Amino acid sequence: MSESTTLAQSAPALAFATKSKQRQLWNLAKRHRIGAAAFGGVILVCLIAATAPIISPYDPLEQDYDSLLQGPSLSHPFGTDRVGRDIFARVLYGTQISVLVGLVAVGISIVIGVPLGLLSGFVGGALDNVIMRFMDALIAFPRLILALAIVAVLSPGIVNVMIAVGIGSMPVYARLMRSQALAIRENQYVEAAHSLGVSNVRVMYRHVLPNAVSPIIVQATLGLGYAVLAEASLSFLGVGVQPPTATWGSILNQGAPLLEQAWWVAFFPGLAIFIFVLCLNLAGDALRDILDPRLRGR
Amino acid sequence: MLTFSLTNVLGGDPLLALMGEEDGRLAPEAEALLREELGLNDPLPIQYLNWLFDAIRGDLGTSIQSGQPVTEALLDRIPVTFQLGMTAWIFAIAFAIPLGMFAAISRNTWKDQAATALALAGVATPSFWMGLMLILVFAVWFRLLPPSGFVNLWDDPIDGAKHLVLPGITLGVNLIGTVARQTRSAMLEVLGQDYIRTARAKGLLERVVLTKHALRNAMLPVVTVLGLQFANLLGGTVIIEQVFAIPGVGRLALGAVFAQDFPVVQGAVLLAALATLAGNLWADIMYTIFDPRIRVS
Repeated sequence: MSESTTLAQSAPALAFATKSKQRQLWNLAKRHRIGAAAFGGVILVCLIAATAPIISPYDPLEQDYDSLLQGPSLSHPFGTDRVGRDIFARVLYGTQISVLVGLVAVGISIVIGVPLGLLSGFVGGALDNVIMRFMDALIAFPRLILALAIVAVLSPGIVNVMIAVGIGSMPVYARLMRSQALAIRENQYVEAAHSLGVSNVRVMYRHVLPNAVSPIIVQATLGLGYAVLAEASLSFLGVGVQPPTATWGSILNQGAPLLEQAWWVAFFPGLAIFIFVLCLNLAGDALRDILDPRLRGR
Repeated sequence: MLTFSLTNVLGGDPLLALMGEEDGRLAPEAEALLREELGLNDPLPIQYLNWLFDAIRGDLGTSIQSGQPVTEALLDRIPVTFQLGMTAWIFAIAFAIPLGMFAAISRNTWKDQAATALALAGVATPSFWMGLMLILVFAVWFRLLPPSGFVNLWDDPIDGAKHLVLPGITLGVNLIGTVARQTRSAMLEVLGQDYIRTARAKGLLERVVLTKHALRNAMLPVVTVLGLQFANLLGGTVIIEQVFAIPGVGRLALGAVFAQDFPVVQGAVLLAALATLAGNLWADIMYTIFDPRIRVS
């Protein structure tokens, strides 16, 4: 059979497979309407973050002394602050920081926590004890207090906030990965790989890790919500991302003393945090339902 | 060890923190003398052991900022934070458990979805924003409650309670979401058990089945979550005390962070770890009450 015939035959098969996947996705979205809407919300926020410089009507740092503390209007949908900066533009730009800090912090937690959990669960013994006792010690501190102490030691700033939030959440991923590794290493395919002489490192990365990805993805989605809240909290307290950079938490911080005369300065960035975190939590819940049907409806 | 390392290893030279980076530079002889006096020339493990023995005796050092012993500063503020934390805890339990039960009883109906959405909204609400909005509505617009400050409940119970309502609700809202979801999940598990069917078959009132048979058995995971969340409440007080200008441990810790007052930061972090232990201990004690089969040796 010629090569062109094979290609001609495989093209409709590929189109069918793609259509079937689209149908599956559509059916999934129909079954989990709230989850699908939440995913849409998360994607929308990420798009806003990516296109903030294009869609923003004003420069977030531009001060307009002719429009100080103006309420919401057509020209300034979210009003202005006490130096005339447009709150809508600042909230749009703040999206960039929130998404960035959230993603990097979760990335730090995963990059450190998952390999440690994998080693701990797969190797076991003394190594497991050392790693897990360290994680227990980290978990003994409330995450916000730990993040605050780390930022206090490392000094405030965007990079240190990412590190602080990331380290604070690391034990969650390590424990999750350990529990998965403990269960997966008992499977027959792992035993088969061992009997074929496959090295431990290869078994961990080729067999254990891929089979433990689902709960990690779910936790990462939920963890992103926590990271966004933690960054906003640290910035609100004044120990996070420093002015004049616009972040949701820092806009709220500047709005707090103006509450009586200009409620909108504090209201809109808080609403943005609430909507984004709610979307992330709902999306995480829906993902968990899809990836682990045993938990459906719980 | 983590508390010690956080500030003494990562935090750089404690003497610089004590004297200030540039301005407070001492003459080399005086600096050497001070280092010797503070034990900073000792190896780190020895410094750690000295710090640990002092901490066990209740000596957490002296605040760089105020000169007050850290233990004394913490003891002054613990009752304030305790009153705030307890208000939030009681508020959360009073709302979350009935909400979770309601969602479980009305499983897969619009009522369940509404209750679950309410719980999720509670988890997603930034506490500092909620606090500010509550101040705006109840203190600024309607002038029903004081916007900030603290009055000790023992000094003036009515005024003290008024001052605790808004911060207590704000701090408790996140907890409501977590506890309500856990209650719903645990109730669903229990309601599917045979003994619930037996209780209903005996003709017991539904109220009795739910409260006496189902809720009691569903409380174990809920108590675990409540115990684990106890320390997180302390974390939350850092924000709430700032929003409502309450002079508690959280505000002390935040001031210490700004002033790089490491002994106070260390003390606050240690207190948070003790709160975690207290939460776990409370959960262990509650297990024995809800399930007499569990005996803690």
